[in-house]
Amino acid sequence: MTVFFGLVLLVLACAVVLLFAMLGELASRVPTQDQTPSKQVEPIENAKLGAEPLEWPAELAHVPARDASVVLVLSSSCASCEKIAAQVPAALDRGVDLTVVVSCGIRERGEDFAKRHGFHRTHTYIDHGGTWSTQKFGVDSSPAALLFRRGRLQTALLFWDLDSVLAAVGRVDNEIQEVS
Amino acid sequence: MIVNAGLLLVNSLAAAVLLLAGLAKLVSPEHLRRALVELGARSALGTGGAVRAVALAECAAAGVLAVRPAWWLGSVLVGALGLSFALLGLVGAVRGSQEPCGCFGRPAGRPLGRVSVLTGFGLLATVAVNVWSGATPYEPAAGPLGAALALLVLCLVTNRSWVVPLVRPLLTSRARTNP
Repeated sequence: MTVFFGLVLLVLACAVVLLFAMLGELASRVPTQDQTPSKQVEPIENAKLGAEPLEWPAELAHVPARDASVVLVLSSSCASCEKIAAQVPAALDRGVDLTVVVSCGIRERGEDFAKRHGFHRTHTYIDHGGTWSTQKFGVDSSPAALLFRRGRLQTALLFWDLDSVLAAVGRVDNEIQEVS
Repeated sequence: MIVNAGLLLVNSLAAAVLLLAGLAKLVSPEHLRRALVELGARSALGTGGAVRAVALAECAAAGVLAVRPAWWLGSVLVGALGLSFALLGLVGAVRGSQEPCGCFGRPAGRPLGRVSVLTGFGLLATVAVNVWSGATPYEPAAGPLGAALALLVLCLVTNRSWVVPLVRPLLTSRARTNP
């Protein structure tokens, strides 16, 4: 019995070590704060490109009506999203047309996130639990930028720098226009 | 009695070192793989699968040290691992390896070098002590318990850069509430 207890304790200790090892691996993948934000832009693999929902939340009713719209999906609980959100007011000042979807676990937290970053200046939808962006477009990562043409999802990109993703979205939009 | 306790301590420490190294490699074999490639390892050795196989061997060797330290097959396994640690460390030190080996779960840790050599010699010494003592002179339950305790202590020491900032605020606030 004591041997069994010892083995159980050893397994528990191994679990603790595994947790620390995973923490170390995660920490090695997160860029340090002094690093400039990555210009990298990655397509979201599970995104439902071509999806065209019939119903839209009132805050996003303008998206299917416009030729092209860029929607940013930001989570109230992700560190990168905080940095991106801080860049949004400057982009709005430059006249960039942006719509923001705030994905949040608690609605009040999402509303506070939107208020802190001055999203009242643009169309903002609070996506409680990230349900809308996940179910309609398969977007479960953030920060994400979605390009719509007349309400149809054309591209979904994961990004770490707002200017980089806006440039990438602009390139995609130009390509779509040339093809059509 | 002192000899028994000493042997238990040595075996527990060696098992903990092997488990810490093996489990860390199972989670992220990439660091050691890169370090091996830097040292000119052949393509078959410089793969994630090969590193994970070594990690499994380390965990198995640790299990043997904790449960049946006097078993000859376990001694051979621990001895082979100790020898390979020492040799890799020696090669790393001679060639001036720069790539962190991710040893003990620390991605930003040291490259293969003197510490690896010392760890290797430590494991070889453990095998020698066990062979010299013959049968295991302590309670069978003491092995796993000692290894678990040593593993937890070693884990806290190697990860102190994360543990201390988490614990310090708790201690400070407790000191404030209990003047």
